[in-house]
Amino acid sequence: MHTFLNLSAYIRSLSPGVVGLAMLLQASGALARPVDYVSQGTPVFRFDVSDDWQYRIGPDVPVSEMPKGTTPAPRVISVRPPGEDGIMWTGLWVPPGVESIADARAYLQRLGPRLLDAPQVGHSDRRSVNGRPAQVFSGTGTRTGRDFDFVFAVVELAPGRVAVAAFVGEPGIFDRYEEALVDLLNSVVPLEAGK
Amino acid sequence: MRCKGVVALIVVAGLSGCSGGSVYYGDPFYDPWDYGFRYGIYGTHADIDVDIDRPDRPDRPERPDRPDRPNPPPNMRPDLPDRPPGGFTGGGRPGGGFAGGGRPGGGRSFGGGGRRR
Repeated sequence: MHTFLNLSAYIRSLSPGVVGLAMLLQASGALARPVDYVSQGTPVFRFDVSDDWQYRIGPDVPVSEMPKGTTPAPRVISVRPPGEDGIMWTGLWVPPGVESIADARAYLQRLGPRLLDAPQVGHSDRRSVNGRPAQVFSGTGTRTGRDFDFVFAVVELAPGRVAVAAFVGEPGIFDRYEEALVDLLNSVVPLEAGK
Repeated sequence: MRCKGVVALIVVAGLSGCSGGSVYYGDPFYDPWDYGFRYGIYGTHADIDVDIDRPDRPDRPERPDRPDRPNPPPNMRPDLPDRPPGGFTGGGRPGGGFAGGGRPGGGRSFGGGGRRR
């Protein structure tokens, strides 16, 4: 079964109307490659993915295809190291209607129980990501009876625009990939629509 | 040739988004593990019908009614009252909320059992 695919194969498989702009500037020997998060045709932010990680750009449903008065759910880009399917998940997206870190707290409160059963925040930490205010929430929960750790990071790209980076993984997995995950978060920079 | 082009357009349109009255948020490469998390995110936003059961995938495994995902949150169960404020922190601490447990630079250890530093 197809799971994560390399970018070129994935782009070839999608129609131009759906695919977002994903930039693969993979130089030989590079340690990371930039990926642009594009929503409704506009670049919003960029982040770096470790060279050997795979990623999947989710669909972006045009507003015009939505029932009148509704907003499409956000495009989600998920990333993962090779061979770790089923034990960790990492995704990035820009939730519509979430305009500040305070909004993001309420949003994550709604989101958490949809990703994990009984999620409990154990730690919260304010920080700065490339000069933008950010907050990280981490804790534990279960999913289909299995224990998982989670780390949700929210970055205020600009007033009125917030990016979310979420990690869910089996205990110990975060530590295994901590450096790559922290690098990923620290690489988030606003683009055109995120400034 | 023209006919082939029309067929190709229909296939592309089918893969790209909408199906019937609902909005399809999947992609041509269905991965239950990945989609299970996406489903949770989509469901947080959508007040629309999220279609996960496209009928046009004869060569792929049948999708489960519910992808690998947690049980519905308590406020989605009609037989349970809504969680009190702070329910996400699990302990129902008044005023807790999502960030209520977060004490910058400190707080209790992850998972209560110190699974992670």
